[in-house]
Amino acid sequence: MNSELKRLSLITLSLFLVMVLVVNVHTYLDAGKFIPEATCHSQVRNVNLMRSVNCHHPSEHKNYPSLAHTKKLRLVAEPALKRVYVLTGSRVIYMMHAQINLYPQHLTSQAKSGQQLYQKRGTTLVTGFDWSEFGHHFYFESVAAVNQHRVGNNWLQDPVKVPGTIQLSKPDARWIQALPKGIPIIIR
Amino acid sequence: MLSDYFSPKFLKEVIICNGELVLAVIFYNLLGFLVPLVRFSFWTTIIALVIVNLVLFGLKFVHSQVN
Repeated sequence: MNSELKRLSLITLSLFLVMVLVVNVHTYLDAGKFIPEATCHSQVRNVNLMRSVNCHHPSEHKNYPSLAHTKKLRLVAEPALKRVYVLTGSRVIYMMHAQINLYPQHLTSQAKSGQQLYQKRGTTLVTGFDWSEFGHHFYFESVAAVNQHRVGNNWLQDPVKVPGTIQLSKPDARWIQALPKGIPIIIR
Repeated sequence: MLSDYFSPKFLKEVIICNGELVLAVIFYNLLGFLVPLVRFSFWTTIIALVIVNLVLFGLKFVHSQVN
């Protein structure tokens, strides 16, 4: 490696490290990208593991954690970021892409679930699968079809806004059915 | 005219540096699975490449002018 190439490589690597610093500092200081209920580094770690939005795939590149014996479990839904955070204490253990059609409030899970749900809104008929109830007639569900037309893989691009629902991908909706009763769910 | 300032040898070296940058971004993004570092998206990588190339060509141009 000649001296000029070494010099150019050093400049390139230095610029890269500066950019890494700038991007990390900018992201960590941007309060809009984080929820205050969880630590920033656990949120960043889970964002790194997230897949692209697809209604047939889980939201992260890792196995679902067990919900049954997790202490201090709670869910936080952030409509602006289109995500539901699953927290244990102040640490994020899973993050899900979601369409949140609820006003800010505090609710609890009901441990009631089912396979199929039909919701009618005016002339629109929405078919949802793997629903689970929380609060009073609010539902986690996976939207399968609108007026008998299947939704696309990236259902968040053109979401169906059915009031009283949090829409997840099919595997995520099936997993969240295992949520025990009485778990706090915070809609921000 | 540009060949007066940027020789084929220099252009080859810049291409090597671009390759090094792309590799660095790939390894950095893989490290993001283990450590809570903010990953570089596709467009962030493109902007990084543009900035690095601007700096390298700019420095070479200034160096040629001075000499």
